[in-house]
Amino acid sequence: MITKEYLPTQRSKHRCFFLIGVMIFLYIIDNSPAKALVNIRIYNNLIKPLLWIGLAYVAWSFPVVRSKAGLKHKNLINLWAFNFAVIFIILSAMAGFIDGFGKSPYSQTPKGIAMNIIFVGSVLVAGELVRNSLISNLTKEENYIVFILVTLLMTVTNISFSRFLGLKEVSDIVKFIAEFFAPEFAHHLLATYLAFLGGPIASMIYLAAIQAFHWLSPILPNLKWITKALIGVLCPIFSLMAIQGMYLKASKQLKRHEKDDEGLLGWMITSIVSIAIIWFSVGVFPIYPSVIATGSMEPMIKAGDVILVEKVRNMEDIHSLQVEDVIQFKRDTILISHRIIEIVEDENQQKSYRTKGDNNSAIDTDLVEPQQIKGKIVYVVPKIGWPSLLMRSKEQVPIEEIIY
Amino acid sequence: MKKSRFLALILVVAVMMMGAGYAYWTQDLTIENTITTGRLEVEFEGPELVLPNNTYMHESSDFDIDDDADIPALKLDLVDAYPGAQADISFKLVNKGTLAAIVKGFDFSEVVGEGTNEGLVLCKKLSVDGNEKVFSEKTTLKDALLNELNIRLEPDNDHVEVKMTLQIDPDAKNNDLKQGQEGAIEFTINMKAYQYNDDTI
Repeated sequence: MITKEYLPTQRSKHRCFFLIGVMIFLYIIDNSPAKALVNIRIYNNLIKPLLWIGLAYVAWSFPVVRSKAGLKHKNLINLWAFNFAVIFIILSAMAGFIDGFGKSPYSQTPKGIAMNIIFVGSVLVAGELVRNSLISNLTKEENYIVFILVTLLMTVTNISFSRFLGLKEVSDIVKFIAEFFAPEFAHHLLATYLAFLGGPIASMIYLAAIQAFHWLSPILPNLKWITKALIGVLCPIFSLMAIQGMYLKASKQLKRHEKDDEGLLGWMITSIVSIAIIWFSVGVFPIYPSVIATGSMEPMIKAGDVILVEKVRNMEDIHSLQVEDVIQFKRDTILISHRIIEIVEDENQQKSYRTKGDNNSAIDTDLVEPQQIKGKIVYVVPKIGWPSLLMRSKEQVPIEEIIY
Repeated sequence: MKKSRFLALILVVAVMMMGAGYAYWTQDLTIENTITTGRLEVEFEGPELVLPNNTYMHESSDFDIDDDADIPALKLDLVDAYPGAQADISFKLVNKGTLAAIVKGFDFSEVVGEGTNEGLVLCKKLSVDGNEKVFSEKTTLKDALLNELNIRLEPDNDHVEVKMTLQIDPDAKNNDLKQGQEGAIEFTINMKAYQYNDDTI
């Protein structure tokens, strides 16, 4: 007769709720005014690590439920967990060559590094043991609802509550999601999947490698929030799709007819190209397209042509504008593209620009101020803007405002 | 479609929309106007000292710009001055800077005498830009200058002429005057000039 000790570990939702409750409790403590009752350094360097080590011990002491992948695939999963982290770091560094680098704000002394390792490591180890426990207790098979819920828990508890409180306007919310929430969510989603497949070690390897770079590197890429969103979301997601495919192939679960559907590379290229096209159209890049609606600049630019405009982003770009340059500027709600015929300086040496459409009989009445200028036209693509013009809203702009 | 592909699609679309937000919120040029800071530069010019006849003051008495001072200053030396001695001094305030200025008044300090002579040099008449004030009661030069004069000067060499008639207190005794070397009582006059719209003063 098989006694109870030798039966496979039963999944337990009670253990999960307990762990979730403790994590939320620790998150509240970490973000509450109660923290101020003790010396902040004692809290960060001693109390907080001890609390998380305690949680790690509890999670570790719970009965182990085996992860999805068998022992023979664990090395593959661990190796790729590390590789994905390295790929992410390399992509971030490459983006740093475009957006710039900055000095790390974290301590680089041996003592500082040791303290950071204890501080970050305790939270990381506890978090991964909890994640693994939740995943393995809540689902046997791929269950994206469970994955997403666990990911949300880990994401929220890794973002300081004060960041949520600081969100006031729509732009703040979008930037927060782009810069912090979405990349964290994507990383944790991948970590959750790695934990599902390979247990806590796999997810620990992935997150620890990224955290190690973040906390220990003396210089860090100083990325714009949109760049962080792009790399922070796409890299983990494509990594997730890749490890999924690799595991299915390695475990021979991939049916022959499904192999033709895989095309991860195709997916990646399609996604990146689609994003690039949309971003180019809306004006994320330094050069953006704009459709010309009138013939005020004929023969250089005709109605229906698409102009490529190089953005004017700072005062240096403004000062580089010269007579004969064709600029795009905003007057009220209309974008106008005319040629500079004179640069006017006032007594404070502030410039403004007199403009005229090549095909207009009269000079534009109002001077163009620097803050109205969007950019300088660098190229004209003939005719391809007609479909866009035909789809435009019926609301007419008074033509007198543009042609005279 | 596989669930992971669907999730990836949602995130890709989200990233596209974030780009639209980025383009919209960063479209405005940050204007960094070059602010030419104005120059506040009010100076003394053309100091003159005129001794009326029988003034009981030595002719070597002097009223001149103090070249050694770090800030614009006038130096007044009254040599061998007796009680009742008079002198007429005048000077111009010239705004050589690019900002409108206001001269609130003047600081008056004694070089020798440790403050004892200050109370003995009286101002009988004070004229600022042709507006004359006659002091009927004994008013020391220091007090006359410390009054809120509020002399406004426009930039680019606007000027105002200040004239004063000074008198050593006739009731003072000879020994009251503490004289420095060569028998002079010496004072310096500094102006209190500010930018015209300075709200801190």
